[in-house]
Amino acid sequence: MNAVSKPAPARPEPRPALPWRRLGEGLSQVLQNLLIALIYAFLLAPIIVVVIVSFSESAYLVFPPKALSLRWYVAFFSDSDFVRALKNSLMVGATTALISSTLGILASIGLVKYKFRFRDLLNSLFLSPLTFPAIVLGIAMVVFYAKVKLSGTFWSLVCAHVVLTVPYVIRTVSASLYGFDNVLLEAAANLGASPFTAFRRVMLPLIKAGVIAGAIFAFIISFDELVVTLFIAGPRMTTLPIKIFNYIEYTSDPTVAAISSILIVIMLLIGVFLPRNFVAA
Amino acid sequence: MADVQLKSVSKVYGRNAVVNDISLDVEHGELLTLVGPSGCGKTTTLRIVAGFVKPTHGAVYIQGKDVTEIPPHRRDTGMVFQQYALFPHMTVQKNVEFGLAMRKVGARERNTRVGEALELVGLAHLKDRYPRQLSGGQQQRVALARVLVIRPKVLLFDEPLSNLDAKLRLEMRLEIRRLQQEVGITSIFVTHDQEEAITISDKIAVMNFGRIEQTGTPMEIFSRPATPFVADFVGTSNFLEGKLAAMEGDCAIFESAGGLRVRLGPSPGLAAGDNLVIAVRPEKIILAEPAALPGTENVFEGEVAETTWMGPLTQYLILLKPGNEKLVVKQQNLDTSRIFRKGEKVSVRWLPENCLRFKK
Ligand SMILES: Nc1ncnc2c1ncn2[C@@H]1O[C@H](COP(=O)(O)OP(=O)(O)O)[C@@H](O)[C@H]1O
Ligand SMILES: [Mg+2]
Repeated sequence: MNAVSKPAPARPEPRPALPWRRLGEGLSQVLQNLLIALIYAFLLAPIIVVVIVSFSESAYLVFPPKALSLRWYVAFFSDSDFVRALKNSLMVGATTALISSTLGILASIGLVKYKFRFRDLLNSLFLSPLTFPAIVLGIAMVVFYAKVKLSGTFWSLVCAHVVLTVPYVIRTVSASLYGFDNVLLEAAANLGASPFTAFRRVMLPLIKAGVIAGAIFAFIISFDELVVTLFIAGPRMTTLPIKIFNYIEYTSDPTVAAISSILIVIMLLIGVFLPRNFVAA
Repeated sequence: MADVQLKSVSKVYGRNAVVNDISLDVEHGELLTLVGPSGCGKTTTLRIVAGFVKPTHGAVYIQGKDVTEIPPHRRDTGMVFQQYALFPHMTVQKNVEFGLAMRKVGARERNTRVGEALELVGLAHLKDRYPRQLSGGQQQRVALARVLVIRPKVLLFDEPLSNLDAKLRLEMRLEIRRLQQEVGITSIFVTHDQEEAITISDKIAVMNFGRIEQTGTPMEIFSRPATPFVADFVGTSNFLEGKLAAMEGDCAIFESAGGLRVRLGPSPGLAAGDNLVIAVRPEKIILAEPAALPGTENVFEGEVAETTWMGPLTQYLILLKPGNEKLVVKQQNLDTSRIFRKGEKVSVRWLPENCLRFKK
C-alpha cells in the first residue's frame, strides 16, 4: 500500500543476553504477576466465597458447599419481610438519588459558577457530612427527627440519606462543571432559549457524566447505608441492610449469602454498564 | 429611526465606569464597528446590547422598542462570540437549528432554512460533523450560519476573527461583510484592529476608556480624526506639540517645541498663540537625499536613527533638526527607491494639508 515505504532503520542487533540474566528477568516477571494475582485474590476471595456459599444445600455457612441448590434464593424471595425490606431500600435509594442529584446540581452550579462571599465556607459545609463519623450523624438526626416528628418514616430516611449522599453528587457534578464554559449558556440564551431550556438542552447534556456518576453514588450509598439508618428507621421502615443485620443476629443460614450475591450482581451491572454507556457520550 | 440606539449608557463596576455615557445610533442595514484598545469597554457595550449585562444608567432601543429590561432570550439579537461558542454535543445541523427550534419553527421549514444558511456559508457538506471535527475557520462559519438562520434584528460580533490566522482572517473579514450586505441585517462589530474596522464598516465608533471618542465613516475617521487618540489609533501618527506662531491669510504657521516651523493647511478658527498638537501620518511623508527636495515648504533636515525593513515597506525613525524631534516615516519599497541606512542625513517633506491639528 505504501509505495515509498522506507527501509527499516538499521538497528544494531541486540546482544544475546547471558542465559542466567534472562532467567533472572523471567523469574522477576513471574513473581510480579504472582504478586498481582495474590492481591486480586485477597480482594475478591470473600466475594467469590459468598457467591459460592449462596448456592449451597446446607443450612449452615460452610465452604466449600457439599451440594448445590437454589433454596436460599427461594427462601429470600418467599420471606415477605425480606422482600419488603428490599423494596424499601430500592425506593429509598431511588428517591434519594433523584433528590440528591437535583440538589447537588443546583448547589454545584452555585458553588462553581458564581463568585460570592463565603463561597469556600459554604463549599466545605456542603461537603462536611463526608468527614463526620456516621454514628455522630445518626445520633444528631435521631434527636432532630424526634423534634420535628418525622421519625421512622420513609421521608425521614430519604432526608437522612440525602444529607449523606449530596456531597458525592456535588463532588462529581462540580468536576464536570469546571469543564463547562458559561458562554454556551449565553449562546443558547442569545438564540432564544429561556434559562431553564438552556440548562436542559445545553448544560445538562454536557455535565451528564458527572450527574450520572453522582446519582449512582447516591443510590449505592443509600442502598447499603446501615449506621445512620439504624438510628432513624422505625419498625415499619426496615431497609435491607437493617433486615440483614437483624437476621444474622439470630440465624446463620446462607439466605444472607443469597442476598449478598444478588446485590453484587446489581452493583456490578450498575458499576460496569451504566458509566461506560453514558460517560463515553 | 435608527435600528439600534444606545442612549447615555453606562456600566459601573465598583467605582470603575467601564462604559461611560455612550450614545450610539446604528441605522437599518448598517454595519457599525466599535474599535478601540483592549479593555476599553467594547465587549461590555456589545453585551449590553445583547442583554447579558444590565447597564447602570441609560437605555437600549432595538427597532424603536426599549429593551433595557428585556432578558437576552427575548431580544432577538444574533451574537457571534470570540470563541464561537458552538454547542459541542450537537452536530453542525443541530447547532444551526437551535435558534429555530427555540422559535418553534416547524421541522420542514427548519430543515430548509438550515440548509440555506449552511449553503450561504459554504458548509452544507459538513452538516453531520461535530464542532470538534471542524477547523477554526469552519467553526467560525457555523457560528455565523447559526445566527444568520434566525434572521435576528441585530447581528453582534465580538472580535470574531481574532482566533484565526492572518490569511484566513482577511478572507473571513470579506466574507462577513459580503454576508452582512447580502442579508442586510443591522450589525455591530467589535474589534481592536483598526484596519479591520476601516475595511468592513459603514460607520466606526472609536472607543477609549469607556467613552466614544469619535463616530463617523471610515474615511472621516481616517482623514479627519477628532482627537489625537483617534489619529494615533486609526493608522498611527507622528505628533508634534507646540503653538501657532502666525497666521498667513487663513493658513497657519505652527512652531513645534523643538523649533520646527510647519505650514498648515487652511485653519479657520485658529489664532496665533493657540496651543496645538499636530499629527502627520508616517505614509504621508516623503524622504529624500539631503537638499534634494524641490521647494521650501515643510522641508526639514534630519538623520536616520533606525531603519526597519518590513517587506513592501521600510520604516524609518528620523531625528529632525534642530530639536531632535522624532518622526516615523514609512516608504513603499519601489524598485527605484533607495534604502537609507542608520546615521545617513536625509530631508523630509509633507504637504500642509496632511497636517491634522488638534487644539490643546
Ligand atoms: N464583570 C466585570 N466586573 C468587573 N470588571 C469588569 C467586568 N467585565 C469587564 N470588566 C472590566 O471592564 C473593562 C472593559 O472590559 P471589556 O468590555 O471586556 O473590554 P474590551 O472588550 O474593549 O477589551 C476591563 O478593564 C475589564 O477588566
Ligand atoms: Mg473584548
